[in-house]
Amino acid sequence: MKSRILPLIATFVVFVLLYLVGFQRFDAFGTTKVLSNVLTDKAFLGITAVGMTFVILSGGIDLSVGSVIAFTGVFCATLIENSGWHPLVVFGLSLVIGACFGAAMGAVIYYFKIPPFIVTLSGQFLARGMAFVITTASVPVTHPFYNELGNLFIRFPDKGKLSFVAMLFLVVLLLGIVLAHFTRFGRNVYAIGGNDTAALLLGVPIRNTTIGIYMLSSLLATLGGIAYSLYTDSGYPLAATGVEMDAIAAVVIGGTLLTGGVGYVAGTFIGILIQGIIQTYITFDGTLNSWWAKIAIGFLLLLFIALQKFLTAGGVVWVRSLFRRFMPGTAKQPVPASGG
Amino acid sequence: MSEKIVKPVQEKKVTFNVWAWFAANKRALWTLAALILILLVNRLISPTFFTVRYQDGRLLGSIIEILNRGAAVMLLTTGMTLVIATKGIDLSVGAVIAICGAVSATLIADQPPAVAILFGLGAALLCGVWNGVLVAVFNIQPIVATLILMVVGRGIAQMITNGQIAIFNDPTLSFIGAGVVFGLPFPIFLSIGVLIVVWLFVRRTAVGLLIESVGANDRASFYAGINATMIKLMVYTISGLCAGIAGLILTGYIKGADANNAGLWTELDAILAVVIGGTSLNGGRFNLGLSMIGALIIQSLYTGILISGLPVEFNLVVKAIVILFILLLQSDSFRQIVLQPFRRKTA
Amino acid sequence: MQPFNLEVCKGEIVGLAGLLGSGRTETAQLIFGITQCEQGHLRIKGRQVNLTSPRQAIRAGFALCPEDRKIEGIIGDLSVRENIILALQAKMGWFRYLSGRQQEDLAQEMIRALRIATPDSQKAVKELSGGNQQKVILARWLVSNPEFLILDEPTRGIDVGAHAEIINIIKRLCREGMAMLVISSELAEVVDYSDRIMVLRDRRMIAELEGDQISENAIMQAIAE
Repeated sequence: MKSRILPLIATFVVFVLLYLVGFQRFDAFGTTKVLSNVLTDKAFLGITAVGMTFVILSGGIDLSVGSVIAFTGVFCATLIENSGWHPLVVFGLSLVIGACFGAAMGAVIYYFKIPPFIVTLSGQFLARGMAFVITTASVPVTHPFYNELGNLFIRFPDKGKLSFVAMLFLVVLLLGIVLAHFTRFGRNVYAIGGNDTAALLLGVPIRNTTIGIYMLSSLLATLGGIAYSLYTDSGYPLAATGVEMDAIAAVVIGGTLLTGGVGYVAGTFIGILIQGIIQTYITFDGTLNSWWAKIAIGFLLLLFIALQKFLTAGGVVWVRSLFRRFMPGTAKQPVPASGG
Repeated sequence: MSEKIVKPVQEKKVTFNVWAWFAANKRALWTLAALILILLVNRLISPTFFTVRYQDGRLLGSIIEILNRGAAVMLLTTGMTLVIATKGIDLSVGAVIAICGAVSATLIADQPPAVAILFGLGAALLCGVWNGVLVAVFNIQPIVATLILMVVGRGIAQMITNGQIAIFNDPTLSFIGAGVVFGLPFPIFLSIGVLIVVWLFVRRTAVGLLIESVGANDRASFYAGINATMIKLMVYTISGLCAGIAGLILTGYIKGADANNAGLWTELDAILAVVIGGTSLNGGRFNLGLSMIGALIIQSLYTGILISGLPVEFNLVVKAIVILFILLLQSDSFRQIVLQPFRRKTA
Repeated sequence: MQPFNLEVCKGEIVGLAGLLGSGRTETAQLIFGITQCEQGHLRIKGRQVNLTSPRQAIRAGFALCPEDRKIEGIIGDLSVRENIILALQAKMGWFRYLSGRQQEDLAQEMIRALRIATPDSQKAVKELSGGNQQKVILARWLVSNPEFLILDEPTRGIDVGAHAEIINIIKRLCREGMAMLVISSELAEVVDYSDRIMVLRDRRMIAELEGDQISENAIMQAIAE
């Protein structure tokens, strides 16, 4: 068990370190404003990443989330602005559509045994394509409801304010943690990710869980799309390109293994915070270009994977095997146990 | 060889029977059928689809365009097939295209074209080796290992071009992307040439078998004495190199290096091409020819949508639907479930 | 593993007996280069060698039929022919390629010699029965011309008919001069074909039986003490 939680702790430590580095350089880093800004800016990504966590925990992947965000944004904006429907109705409708979309992908994955990578990739094209069909240009939203939600926030001392989308993110996060650790569904997800043959033999409802996982992912991506739409006050078909990779990065940095079965939703949260902190640092600095954020995140990914490798069972053996490879003749190699 | 009482073995002729092969590999049949279907539909949409005419020293026609514009994807697919066959994946090829383009376009300003090209390909090779080392030596999962370069690579490319789109006028580099040889665009020769070289390398040596073995069961391959590390390292290096060549083509074509958009999402097209071509994402058997058909399917699809006059917005939707359709056709489970009622009647 | 001395001569079969977990497979893996030892050394024909990988072991003339056929032995998706020539091809390297005809000849020779039941050499190995799969792995190693063959549970999970065939093959190889180390839980069989038997328990050698000393009782007694 210890080796499972260590990556999470490591992630947290890295987050604190990064924060301190930023704080040491910019006094303003210490304000609640920074943190609340990160939560607001990354809310849509965070909500999506919670869904992605479940998918990756089950050993799968969902490449369609970015396009779903874009589609939702465009769908909502168009219906609100051009057809005059009330946002809440539109939100509800889009959530239903999102859930059905995800369930369809999950069904194709389960029944036709086509790899999730490919199915969700096609889903990505489909969702993005549908977004383009609805509109090719950006659609700004001027409905008063958006303003109301935009004005809804909890004030903190020190100029920080928790906006509606940030609150939404935190609520989704908490629900995600509950779902993962305190429900049967969550246990099933972990079981499938750990060993799906064993899961089958143990009576885990693979079909329902698989469909449920991708339905959840698309649902949360849709919710993320709603958050994004609120955040940008518009719908734009080209929005959120590449967001799926950012979500995956957050999940991996957060300590979840891509093979599935191991990981925490809380870890993803920290992964999102880390991305946000890096972004903030770059903004504050002003001289660094945005591509440094990419390089920094890539470096962190590498670091965390190395860490995961080291901490999981056999990690120490792996390091020793590296020693043996590069420095033959190094004494003291252990003999790993095996049956016989 | 331990002595065995062996009766003289009848000299068995090992010949390649195309029809028998297709019968045994029904999936391949469906794939070829899909390509033919798409081409025929294109012909319906545009009666001049198959016509080729000679004008101003070059051959023009939709088929030529497909092969020309598809050259980059075909190159990527060649490398990607080998990588996927080892149970890996290379998400970074798009970023490698950007890096190679950035390096060549920047160097060409004050270096001879040979140097620019060499360094560009060298950078691509280095990227491939980097991926290979992460996967083969450090045993990092391919999807994560190549994701790192995918994320970081464009950042590096932007650093090299200083955030600008580096444009140039050099004739050699432009030729790679837009030149004409014997009436046909040069990229076609490049992609087919590389395909032939790679094919010879994997099928006329033991390498192809070793790749399939490592992909199908790398532990057993290790026990059998195969150097899985070298094999994996090699396939990622080849993938990187192919991406580099594709990068030169794309950069030469637009006479500029766009770090942000060069080769964007091409890795996904390449992966799709390989999967449509029948190579399993779980590694093992691979077939370069079928992968090329997969790449041609994707390119023909693009061209078909283009000439159909459908509003641009519908491109992605049509692509998604057709690809999904092909994948379903290829899935044994799908054919079973759908054809079940028909089968019962004939029983 | 506790250290002990193991010597195998040409044309000799040394059996390794013991309960599950006694360290028999570990021994095989140590010899074959899959794992490395902290102390002790390996001598082939009097010359000291250090084997750090199966590839080196194979080059030194070793061969190992592993315990877990499905995971460590056969490459299920590849054909019988490809499985048989695999180790030889790996030994020859990337560029010295066995042509289709050469592969087919070798495969057919082995299929005949070991009586592998398969309609043709192109069948995927995963479709064969356990016994035939074991023969394919044996064929693979025989094709690579080893001097020392390690067999880890060669008759486990195999139907009775194939059992007898494999034991005959083992005896025949011995007669033809192959040095062999056979790990087996089938005491009756081990007693039958071994020239010497080492008994392991809890990762140490506790007894070495030779000639007249060899019997199932002797082995079980040694383990029980």
